[in-house]
Amino acid sequence: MSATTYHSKALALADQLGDLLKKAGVQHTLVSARLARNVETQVRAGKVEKLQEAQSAGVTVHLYVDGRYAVHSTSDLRPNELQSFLRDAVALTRMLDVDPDRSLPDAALVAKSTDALSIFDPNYGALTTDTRKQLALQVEAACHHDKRVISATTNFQDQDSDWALVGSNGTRAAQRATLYTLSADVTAADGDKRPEDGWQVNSRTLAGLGKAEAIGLEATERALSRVGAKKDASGSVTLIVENRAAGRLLSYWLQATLGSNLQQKRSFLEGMTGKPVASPQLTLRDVPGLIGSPGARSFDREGLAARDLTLIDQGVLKNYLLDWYYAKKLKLSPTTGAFSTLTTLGGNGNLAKLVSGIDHGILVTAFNGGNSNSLTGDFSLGFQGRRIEKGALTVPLTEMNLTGNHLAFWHTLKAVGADPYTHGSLQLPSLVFEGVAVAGT
Amino acid sequence: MTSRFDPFQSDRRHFLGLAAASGAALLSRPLWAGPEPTAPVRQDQAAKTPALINPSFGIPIEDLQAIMAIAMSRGATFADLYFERTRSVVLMLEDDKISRASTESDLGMGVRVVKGDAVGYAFSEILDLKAMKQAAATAAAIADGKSDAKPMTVQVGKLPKYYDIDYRYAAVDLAKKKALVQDINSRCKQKDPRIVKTTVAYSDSDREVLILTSEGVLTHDQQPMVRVIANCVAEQKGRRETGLYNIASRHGFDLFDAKAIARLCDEAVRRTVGMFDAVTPKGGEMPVVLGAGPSGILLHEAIGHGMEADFNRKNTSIYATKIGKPVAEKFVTIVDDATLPDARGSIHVDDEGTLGQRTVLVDGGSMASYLHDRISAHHYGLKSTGSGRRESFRFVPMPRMRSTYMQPGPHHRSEIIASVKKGIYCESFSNGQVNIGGGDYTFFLKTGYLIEDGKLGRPIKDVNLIGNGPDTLTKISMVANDLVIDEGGWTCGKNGQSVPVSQGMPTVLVKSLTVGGAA
Repeated sequence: MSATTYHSKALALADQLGDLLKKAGVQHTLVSARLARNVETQVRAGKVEKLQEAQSAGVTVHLYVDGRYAVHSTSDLRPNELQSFLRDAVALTRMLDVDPDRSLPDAALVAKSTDALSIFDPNYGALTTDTRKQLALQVEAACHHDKRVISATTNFQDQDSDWALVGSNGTRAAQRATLYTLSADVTAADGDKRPEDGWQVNSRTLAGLGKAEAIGLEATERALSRVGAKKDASGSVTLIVENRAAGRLLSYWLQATLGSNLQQKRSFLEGMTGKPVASPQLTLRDVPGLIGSPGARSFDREGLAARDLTLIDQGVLKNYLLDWYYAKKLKLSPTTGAFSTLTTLGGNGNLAKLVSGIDHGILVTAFNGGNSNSLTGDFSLGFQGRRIEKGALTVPLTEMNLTGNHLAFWHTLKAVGADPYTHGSLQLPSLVFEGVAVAGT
Repeated sequence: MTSRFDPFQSDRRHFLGLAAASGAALLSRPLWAGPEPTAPVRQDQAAKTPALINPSFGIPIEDLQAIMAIAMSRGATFADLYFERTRSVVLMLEDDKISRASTESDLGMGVRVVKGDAVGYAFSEILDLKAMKQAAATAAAIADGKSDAKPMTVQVGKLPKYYDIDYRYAAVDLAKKKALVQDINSRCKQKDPRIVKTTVAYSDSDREVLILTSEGVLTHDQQPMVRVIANCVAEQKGRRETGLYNIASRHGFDLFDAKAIARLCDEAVRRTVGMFDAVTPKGGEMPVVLGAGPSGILLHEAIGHGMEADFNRKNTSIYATKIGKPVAEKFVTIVDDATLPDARGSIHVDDEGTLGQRTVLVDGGSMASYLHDRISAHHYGLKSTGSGRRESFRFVPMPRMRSTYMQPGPHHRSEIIASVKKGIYCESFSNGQVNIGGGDYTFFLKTGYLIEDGKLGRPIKDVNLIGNGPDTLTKISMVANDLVIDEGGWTCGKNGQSVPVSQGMPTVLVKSLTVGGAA
């Protein structure tokens, strides 16, 4: 994990709050401070439609007072207001119930270095308003290569953020990051309907966004592929979930790995560590140091130092996502309360290769609504996609539902692609499931 | 737009008569060119010094004028300044202890500059003049001409009253809030021995806004909000089920009287232990009866978002060419309403200074009006419907729903259920989503019943329903006379912004919808 040292204004702010709390007699505290600059440039019909620019700052203090715990946030950093904010915060915390499990993490587990991950682009300051506009305009121009495109809206967003944690348990950590996002949303003509789709690319550096035109072309191709979409028959099918959509499917499963749900008896994964929860095709790891990911970090929100974590190893559940508090209540070792970047291991072929091996099935390109019950594992999700016939994508599909139970569903995983979606923190490849229930006509 | 794992979020945009004050009169014409001011002014209020009306922001009127002058300095057609202070408290009870609380204090102001359809926006979390002027200069960069604006006379807008603006949750003793949470916890646990875990979440907020438009109208509003959620886990013969109920409102703390507390606990427990008998229905197309109340989620997703005029202005909504055309049976009338007393979705004024009002979306089966903010209203040459809302001072406003519901119809609940040979009855929901252009929408059923031979049968749970907006409107074949506005705390997400909304529905029959379920 490469690192750089920088002067963190957020760290200075967190130190300032920490000192104020110490003077106020609060012994156990964790202070989080964030500074950010966000710029958004939106283009439609060849013109800039929205320009938004903002600098923001805020602090959150976690107070542990006489066995009681509360968390307080403010964006009002004027000295007098901060004083009264902290006074009120301490007073409110004292009114809560005592909970012996509320405490700061052990010093041995927390981050104590302000060397940051290399996720800040030193050239960020040179980015001009004109460059932002030009990139967004280039994406939009590429979207209009087909006359069926009714509307294309493109966005260029950039963020420079500085985040620091300072705790009375020795936590001392800071991270400065840049993130560039270039996206297009395209609407196509289709009789009375106006099907839409889009594409988005994230990068820590401007150059990492790749060619602007490619984003517009991808968004347009996806929107046009929705023209003529209809329902397919209900039944049991072979299903490919495209890498872009696979993260959302997994996010419902992940709810059951959270310490809060486990401790509150709302998890279908209770007592399942060491047992198979998916087919052996699936290995799932959290890799905080993957610096190209929007989720990259060297510490988590409690200050726990980041480390790689295997959630599933060849189908067997290895770990939960446990923050300090719920791990303590469950009498388990903490891991982290929130994943950073989830990746898989192994896998073969890209989406085209996976599709070519299926005689009759369905490709899910996006989920539309639906939900999941973290206690029972039952889920039901709307989706859109394409029919697969003789190894090729054919009719566009819509108004379809995928229904199942996580405990059985992930065992139907038959193949994993080698095409991880790299523009989010859920970097899953395309996944192939066999014999799953879909509802249409 | 992404969905959030919030059981009350109507996620994605893609999740009455105009109530002006009687006797209101405008004192003088605004000095900047633009549409007619929409917040009428009462003479006695306008005579006051605005800064005194709003001591908590304490911005001198001449400073407001100076900031506005910079916002308008590059030839904008319109601008607004939006000041906001929000204080909120959350109390969480788990394992019989209120062992976590959170508070938030948020203060800031946003400057929006509009030229045609283009918007420049900047905000400041520091209310000093230099920072606010800088924000105005940044937002003004969207325009590229010269100002012909003249100095502005500020007038104070008068608001209607759909909830008590003098109410402050911050003034309610924290001990009372704690006692409420503890009472709900023990009642749920006592109600049924199978309840093994209870989580109770209490949240309230006092939001104060001050809006100055470049037309010179200054509006000051207070927007209180409260919500309590009871979530239970029950065990029976080694099986567990979970369920919840919640109540949300802009009413004061006395909302939680004995009746409301009993209802909250009864429903949370019933919706948990009732699930032991619930089955997953067989998937496919079938008749769907939408129970009165939360089924308004269908309107929110199937039509509400598609009627937000920003999508139509851009020609990206499936409803872009439907105004004036028949879309449903004549007994179908759908409204979006800011004026329901104490409703979570009610607003006295929207977030760009237009009075809250009732907007008819579908009138007797025909498309009547979109939901407009100022930009779309200007585009169509119409008046704003007071639908310009924003999550906070950090965001630009855009057309949003308030309380969306269907007017009562000619049928009875019993005859609607009796008319279905085989289908489902929907009772409660957790979330929904819609694709604006394609019109495909979904909503997730938490609890309901099978209908067999015209009678309610076994309970069902956790299935997704999916349909196409215009198609579903044509399939609404019966509407009962039993409209209920749901008391739950719905939150709508669109383009990364969340706003509180309400929804309601009489019992309705949709002839056919796709129900997710077993193969």
